[in-house]
Amino acid sequence: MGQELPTSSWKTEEELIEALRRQEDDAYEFLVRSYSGRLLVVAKRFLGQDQDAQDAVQDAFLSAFKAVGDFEGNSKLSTWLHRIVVNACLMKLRSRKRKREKTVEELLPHFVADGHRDQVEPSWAVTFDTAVQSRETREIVRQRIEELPESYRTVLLLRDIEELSTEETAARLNLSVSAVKTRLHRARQALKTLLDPHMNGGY
Amino acid sequence: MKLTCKELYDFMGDYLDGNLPDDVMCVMKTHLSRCPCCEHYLENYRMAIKLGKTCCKQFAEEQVPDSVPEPLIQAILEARKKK
Repeated sequence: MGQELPTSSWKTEEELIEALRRQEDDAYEFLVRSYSGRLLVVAKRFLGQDQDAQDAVQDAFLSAFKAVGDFEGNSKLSTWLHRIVVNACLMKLRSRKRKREKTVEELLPHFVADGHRDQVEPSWAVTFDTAVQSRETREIVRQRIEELPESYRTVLLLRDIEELSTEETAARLNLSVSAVKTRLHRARQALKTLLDPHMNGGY
Repeated sequence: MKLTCKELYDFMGDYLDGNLPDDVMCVMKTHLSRCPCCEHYLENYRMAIKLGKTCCKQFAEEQVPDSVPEPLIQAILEARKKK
């Protein structure tokens, strides 16, 4: 049973894929119109800048167009396209000029000389279930992730959101496993700090 | 063996992944049971991870725009025809 496609000439994903393989123009237009919104969300998460995100989406579709003949249909079309756009984002990150990146040092926990924390850590006032039911909180979480410096954001997105393994993340980013672990830990600590005001009920 | 708070924080990622030797895990748990500050930090840290994943993935659809810029659509379709 194929994936049902909304309001299109093709009843199933398989039929759409066959039309793409036959190089049918209207199939390509349907694909782009159906999936570009979702791919743009992913691209903006990695790249931030709107033009870079749009470039990555365009690159992703062009890669998909070339590869559609090899698509075996053993995953959903959306999953396949998602993987392609993540790859396009990583390529874009590699190619764009590296700005001097701000540190996360001020977002990390600090300790006094004997190894104790320099301040008290309260348990968050807002529970997980309450947080995820709030549209405002969900938006704040996504915004705080976007605020992380690029190299930390990328590792966090690949490991915690895309759920790649440490080894796979290291390979994709040309980093050592140890570097990925360190960067991920700091990214998570920084994210926690950025979420503190909201989760402690400050606003 | 005893861990300072700072050392516990350094091991937090491996602790959550279950990648620590048994003796270190045991010391971690002992420390957490006696140190509210570290226990709270770990719980907040864990929740931050879970929130990130949930808000980005399970609620991904709410972020999808109603429409994508038409110039982008046309640029993609035109680029395909050129190749």
